[in-house]
Amino acid sequence: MTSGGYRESVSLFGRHGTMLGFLTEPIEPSEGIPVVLLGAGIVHRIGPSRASVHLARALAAAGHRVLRFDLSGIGDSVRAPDGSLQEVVLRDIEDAIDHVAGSSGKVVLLGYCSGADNAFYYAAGDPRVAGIVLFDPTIHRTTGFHRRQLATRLTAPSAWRNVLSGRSIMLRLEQYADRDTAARPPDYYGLLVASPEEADLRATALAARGARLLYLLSGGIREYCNSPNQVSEALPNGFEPDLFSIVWAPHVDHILSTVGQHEWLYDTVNRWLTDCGFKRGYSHG
Amino acid sequence: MIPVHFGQRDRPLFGVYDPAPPPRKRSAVLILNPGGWELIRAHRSLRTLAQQLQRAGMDVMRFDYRGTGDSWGDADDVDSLRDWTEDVDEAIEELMDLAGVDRVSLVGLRLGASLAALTARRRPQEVERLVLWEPLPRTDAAPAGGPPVDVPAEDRPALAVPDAVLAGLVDLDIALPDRIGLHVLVATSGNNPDPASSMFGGPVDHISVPTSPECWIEDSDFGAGAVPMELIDGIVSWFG
Repeated sequence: MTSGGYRESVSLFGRHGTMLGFLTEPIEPSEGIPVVLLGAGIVHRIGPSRASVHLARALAAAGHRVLRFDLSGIGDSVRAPDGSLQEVVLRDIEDAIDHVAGSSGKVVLLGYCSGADNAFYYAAGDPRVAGIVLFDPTIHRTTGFHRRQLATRLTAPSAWRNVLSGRSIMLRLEQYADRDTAARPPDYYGLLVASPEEADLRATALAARGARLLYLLSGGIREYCNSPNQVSEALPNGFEPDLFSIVWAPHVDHILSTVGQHEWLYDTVNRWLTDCGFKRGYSHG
Repeated sequence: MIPVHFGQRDRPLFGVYDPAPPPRKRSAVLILNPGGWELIRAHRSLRTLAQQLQRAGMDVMRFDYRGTGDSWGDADDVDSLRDWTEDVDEAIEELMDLAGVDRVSLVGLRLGASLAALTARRRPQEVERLVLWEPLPRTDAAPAGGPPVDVPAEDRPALAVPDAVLAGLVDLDIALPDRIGLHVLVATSGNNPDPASSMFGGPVDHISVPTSPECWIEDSDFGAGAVPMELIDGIVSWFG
């Protein structure tokens, strides 16, 4: 498939030849670093609100080879014959990088939500990963988070009204009564979330080898992240301001639900790729 | 599982073809998805249905309409409901070629059921059986959450069913004339009423599993719907 500045092909790849992936490439020879997109949860390869399709095609037209694919057992990729879910996810990401960049090429990983956690967890162990884009990853709650949350509550008139009227207690009781106790199948969220200490170590390792990180924090994660400063608070030793960038985007939601949010994602990522020098020196074509 | 691009070279459609293992029944089924947000949520269920039909000896294909999923284009590239019925025609031709058959059966979920019924009415000689899975009520003009008319371009939903398609669904009559003589199954889940008697003059079969989850609705923040196994088994059994 060839269209405005890109061509797209589909294949089954990986060590068992059972992972379905779309490779979207520039039509003209180019030098942009390859990009691997990692999906969220059990949503298939088109990404949240089809954002991966739009992003892959736009980045390919801008000079990057982009792979979007289904992890084993998700979408149309066959369930792996062996290994725990964690092992399978790590193996699949390794195979995806092999597919798009070979055994020695550099690559940028871009993950949404649990895909961002997977990217961060995996990247510390593979020197081919030169950069990571983390859209709404896990950011551990910090002392700063709790302090800001308390300050917000203490200064919110509605919170005081709820306390004084007793509504606050009723809401908590209702929440407890409605707790969903139904058994659910294992899903793909939270598989590779590093503990706070481990996350700091992994960030330290990434910074030590000069990897670039871009945190994209939407308005959809206020429940566990209420300030861009929380990223550095959560990584007291590993955060490296010269290498790690943060974009605080309260106007964007967690599922990138509008056309404008897709444009924002492309513009932000493409600008960062330029700023990091990921536009030249990675020949393919 | 064989991924395929098909249709016109400058705007190819993407599909997944699951060929029947031997012994083949020489029977092919095209699955039509519900489009919009429901396309993502129902993906696992439609894949499961395809695999079950394949195990039962049938050749099965699923695909994405233009401007959706992995196919060419965006919502702006869809001018009318007719565009998607043309895509269904392309998929039928492709499946006939791949499976080496002259007729296909259609299974449509929600908006896909509307497209399946329209296609059966237009191509009665080539449609063998028809499954309408949760067909949309006739008066439901915005089944997948159509956008308000006056929103700025950047605020438009990225995954909604295009306005042009929604317009084509208003007051759409999908009832089939008796003379077609088609085997029709209506499958429903949840608390949805039996729509069969009000939609069709002729006899239809009906499966209703009130306890089955509605697979086009997100389940427990998973980003996808739960898979209604009992209902899927019922559809597969109906094919025999």
